[in-house]
Amino acid sequence: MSAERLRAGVDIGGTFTDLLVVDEQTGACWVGKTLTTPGDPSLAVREGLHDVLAQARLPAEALSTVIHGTTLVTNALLERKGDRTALVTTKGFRDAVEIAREHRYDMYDIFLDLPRPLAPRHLRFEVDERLLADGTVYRPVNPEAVRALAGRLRAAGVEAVAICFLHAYQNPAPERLVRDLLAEQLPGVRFSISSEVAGEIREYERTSTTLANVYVQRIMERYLDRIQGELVQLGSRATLLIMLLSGGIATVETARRLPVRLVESGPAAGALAAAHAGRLIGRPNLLSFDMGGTTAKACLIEHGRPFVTAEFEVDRVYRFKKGSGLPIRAPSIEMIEIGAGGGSIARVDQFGLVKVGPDSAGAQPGPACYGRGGDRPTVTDADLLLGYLDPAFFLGGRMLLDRGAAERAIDSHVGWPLGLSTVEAAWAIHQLVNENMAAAARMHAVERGKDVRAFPLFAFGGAGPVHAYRVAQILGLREIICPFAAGVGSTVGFLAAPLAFDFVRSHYGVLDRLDWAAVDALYAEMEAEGRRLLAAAGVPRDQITVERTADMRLFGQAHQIAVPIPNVPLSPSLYETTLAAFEGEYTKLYKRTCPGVAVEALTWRTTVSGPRPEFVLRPREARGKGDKP
Amino acid sequence: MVKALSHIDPLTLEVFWSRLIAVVNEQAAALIRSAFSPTVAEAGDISSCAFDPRGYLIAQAVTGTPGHINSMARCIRHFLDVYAAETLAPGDVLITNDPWKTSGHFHDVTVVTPIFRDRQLVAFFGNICHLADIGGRPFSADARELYEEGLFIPITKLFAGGAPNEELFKILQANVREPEAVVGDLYAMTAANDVGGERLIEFMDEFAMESVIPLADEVIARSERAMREAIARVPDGVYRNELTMDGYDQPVTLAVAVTVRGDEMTVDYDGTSPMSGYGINVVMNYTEAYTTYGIKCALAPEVPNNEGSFRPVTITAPPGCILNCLPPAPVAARHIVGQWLPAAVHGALVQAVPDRVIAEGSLNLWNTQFNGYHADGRRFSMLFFNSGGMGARPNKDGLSSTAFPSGVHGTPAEIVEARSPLMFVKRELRTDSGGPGTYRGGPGHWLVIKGVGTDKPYRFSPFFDRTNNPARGYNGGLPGAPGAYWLQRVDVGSVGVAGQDEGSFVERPNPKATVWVEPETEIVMGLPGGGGFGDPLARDPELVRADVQNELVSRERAREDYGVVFDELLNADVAETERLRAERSTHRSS
Repeated sequence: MSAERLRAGVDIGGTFTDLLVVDEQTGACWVGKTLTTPGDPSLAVREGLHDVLAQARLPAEALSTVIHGTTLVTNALLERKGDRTALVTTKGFRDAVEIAREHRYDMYDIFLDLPRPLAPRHLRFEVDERLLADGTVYRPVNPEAVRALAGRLRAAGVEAVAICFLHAYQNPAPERLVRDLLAEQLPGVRFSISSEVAGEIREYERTSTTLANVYVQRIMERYLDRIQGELVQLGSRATLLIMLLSGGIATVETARRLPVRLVESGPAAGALAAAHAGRLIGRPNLLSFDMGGTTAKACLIEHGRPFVTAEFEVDRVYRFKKGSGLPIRAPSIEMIEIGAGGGSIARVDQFGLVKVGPDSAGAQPGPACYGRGGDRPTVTDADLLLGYLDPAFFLGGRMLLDRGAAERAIDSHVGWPLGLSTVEAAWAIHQLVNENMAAAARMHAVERGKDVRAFPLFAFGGAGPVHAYRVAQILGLREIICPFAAGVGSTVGFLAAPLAFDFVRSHYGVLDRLDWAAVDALYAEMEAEGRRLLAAAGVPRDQITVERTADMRLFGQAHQIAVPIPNVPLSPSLYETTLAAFEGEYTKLYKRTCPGVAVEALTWRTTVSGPRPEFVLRPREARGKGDKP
Repeated sequence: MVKALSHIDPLTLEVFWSRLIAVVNEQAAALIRSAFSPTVAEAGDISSCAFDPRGYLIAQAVTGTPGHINSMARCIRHFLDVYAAETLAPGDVLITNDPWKTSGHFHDVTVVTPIFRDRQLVAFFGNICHLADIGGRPFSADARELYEEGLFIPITKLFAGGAPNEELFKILQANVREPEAVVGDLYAMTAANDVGGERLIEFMDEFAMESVIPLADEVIARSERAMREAIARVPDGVYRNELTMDGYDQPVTLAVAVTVRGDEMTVDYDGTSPMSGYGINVVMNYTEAYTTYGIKCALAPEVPNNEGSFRPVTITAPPGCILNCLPPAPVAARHIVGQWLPAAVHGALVQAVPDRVIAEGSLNLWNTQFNGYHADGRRFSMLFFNSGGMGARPNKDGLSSTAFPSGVHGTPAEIVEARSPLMFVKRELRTDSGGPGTYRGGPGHWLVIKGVGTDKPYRFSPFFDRTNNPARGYNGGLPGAPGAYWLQRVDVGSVGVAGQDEGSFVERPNPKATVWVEPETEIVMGLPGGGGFGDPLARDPELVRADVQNELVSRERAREDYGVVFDELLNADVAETERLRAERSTHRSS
């Protein structure tokens, strides 16, 4: 038995911390579920690992890697528990982050609220410097003024500083200079600069991302230290790796530097788990459907992987309303999340229509049938009355469900107002939540220009399998796949993800007269950095893969589409193939292209990845149900 | 399955309805993502809708702007007057920018596509975009007649049986300043309707639906019922309001009488100023659009917007007044006046339902249109929208620098600078611009712009109002700061804080007139703040403290308007505050 052969995936969720440990050699696996310890989440990790290792009868030394996802960043942002953070920006622009896009995300709601910037106005400071749109210096930084600013920052007691200058995506030098000058004067303060965190055009989105990054940096550092400490205490020398919302995994070093890329890594892991299972069973195209207590997530998997997009939103004022949150520019797995889970509450609205969610009864008081004081009917209550759930075998029999309470809640809030019997009302709730999820999944698919009917449904999460059949029926899907241990399904994703780093550089050019040499140099630079990081993490050189895309559009358009770029030295001879690749992607999305318009390229992206771990789970607890997921 | 929906159950209806919304959302997303003009792609100045074969609006995307949606709502009948339904064929696409039949000015072009299934007309999909250019004068309020404002495209085919109307494209390309962007956007609009139509047919196939009319009837009937219920909750009566605007060359009065009787409402603009000699006149369509929008925001934000929700409301304005202008009145800048109408209605309704309305805000978008040349001789044209503060709400502060009633976005400084030789000197919130109240109006902002990438003067067309008529507060709330606008020669005067060094080098042109600007001149715009709601002396001193700390309110105004006094360390001086507030109250009541 070799010393280090276990890989562990750990997902810290709102209620439960889920664990999956796999023996790389045999495929044997062990599952753990323990209550999350919100005060110090690392405690639950240690406890969970301890239990699972006991099950496996293996010592902690046998752990080679622990791959981890957390909602810590999301929660720190939602609860505004980050550092006292200041913004330092170009003179005249300290309010860019508050003026935002001058937009209401709901046309008719005049009582809506907008997300609050992470740095209040009195902690937003300006430097009299200026770049032009092409990155040339219009007004240089005055070092004396920056030293004076350090005094004001110290007086204000700030713990973290985001630096975001106009057009820094074209020229990072002024941001770096100011960071270095301030850091000299302000030991112990964390800094993030926009050109490193999100080097892309559009000042509001870039500033918002940079602020969020530095706002949670200290929390993340402490937390990673604790987890590493717990591993040491267990006697493990395992490498700790962190899942990103892009679905890549990264070293602790990256997580410390770019914590904002860890937002929502749990759902990302779920999508990866689906992709992994799909590859194993010869279904590279899947609709991943992950339904938990509060939300349902749908994500298309194509060619064995989910689609990665460039922006994400956190801390939505209205949780599921697009535009009500803080924008984060970071590569993220594109999925749709709606307020439809087992705990979603049903009611009848003013037009006499049944509505389900997005508000949830959560774990406390929970659905009426939990018997913990909840009196509002939920999806779980409906599922129970319709016979989908066994009242005597919920959570494996650890929790008894109260049928009477479910009946009373459904009768009084849905059945009676609509003149429906209990079962009819339960059916209405069940079917409506299915419709909502199906509509969301379909919208997600059509946004990508895909016909969802071509995809098998891969259902997991606490409530996923219960609803899978009807959702598949509504969507017209022909196949449903439920994995072993569906309730901790997303942990598989941690173990299935390759170590990967994403890079992005802006360089504008019209395609037919592009400076290919300059672009080639950018790619070389990004790739070298990625290879360096992977080498440092122990990935052999010959197992590294590099993937390139570029953001392009028709000349004069404002939004870009992602176009694959071949992984070869770039020269003008690539013009024709690149143009053809663009046109192919474009017509897929928008039906018609516009005749006779040039193509322009703006942003160049690279992902440098290590090998994708391939493993087959051999569940020990699920004997008799087949040993494949 | 759904051949006769005479009795459609709530569950099925909800499913169908969600699907229809998803279809139009997809149509809108395709348009925004593939559009060329920044007004569409960055600002989202579009709308997309689905109509039943009779031309009734049934669903609209949850994006876009009310001036488009509601004025498009009843446009299909105009198209059908010209091209009878039975003459339309698959592949036909119709277009117009007739201000009186759709959205009130030439720049807003409507593209409508009849959708066929097995050669049977099943629906129309339509969308409106603000195009980058339409010929004539650059977009401005200056015209004296409609003919100066650009190319008039009467209801015409843009595509016939799938083939582009080459003659029309030729005329368009020859007349507009940015033919690539204009043609590109027309293609994007056409493609967006295709996307919507394709999804609708999939939807109908899936449910074996022969017609959307039964579904439309059900949605319309329910919306009408809900709207009537909402109106019935307003006490009967006649509620009047009057607003004064700067106008172009003379003040404009908007007079409104809102009459509520049972479950019906009439809104009459009798007493409103006559048409202007400049391009700020509003067509009746657009007047109806923003009036209905204002009513819906206040009384029934949840009710779907369609034919049914319009039925219980009757809107009238005397022909020839500025809100019901007649051809050939110039109309390019009609949004300036039209976007005040929700506030006209709210100012009347506050007498009946004070908890459902918001105080006056900045209202009309402060559009800024620039036309000129880069240093290297390339032409540029740049339009973006700027918004001042919204009025305070009865239970919370107004939003700072947020578009209302329009639904558009601002444009990033970095995008403007990357596409034009302009430089933003600052875009920052205006201290003391939010009207004091128990709840404060939203502040506006300073926007200062100059030219850096050009050595030639360029043309600047402003669309500003409220420079003489600040946003009024409600129920004791005080007005917000009025708008400010001047040109400053910074090469001679000192560079300082906007608004503080108006010396002899300041020019104050008409806030709606096109001017030529030297590159080094700074254009200084102070966007208006929103009005307050409730007595400022009743504002929580802690909120006043936060506002002072954040420099949204100065210490002087905190003392004068709110009666709150602070020490050096920004702690409220409780005794002095109480004394001052008591004194003010007594003074006021005597």
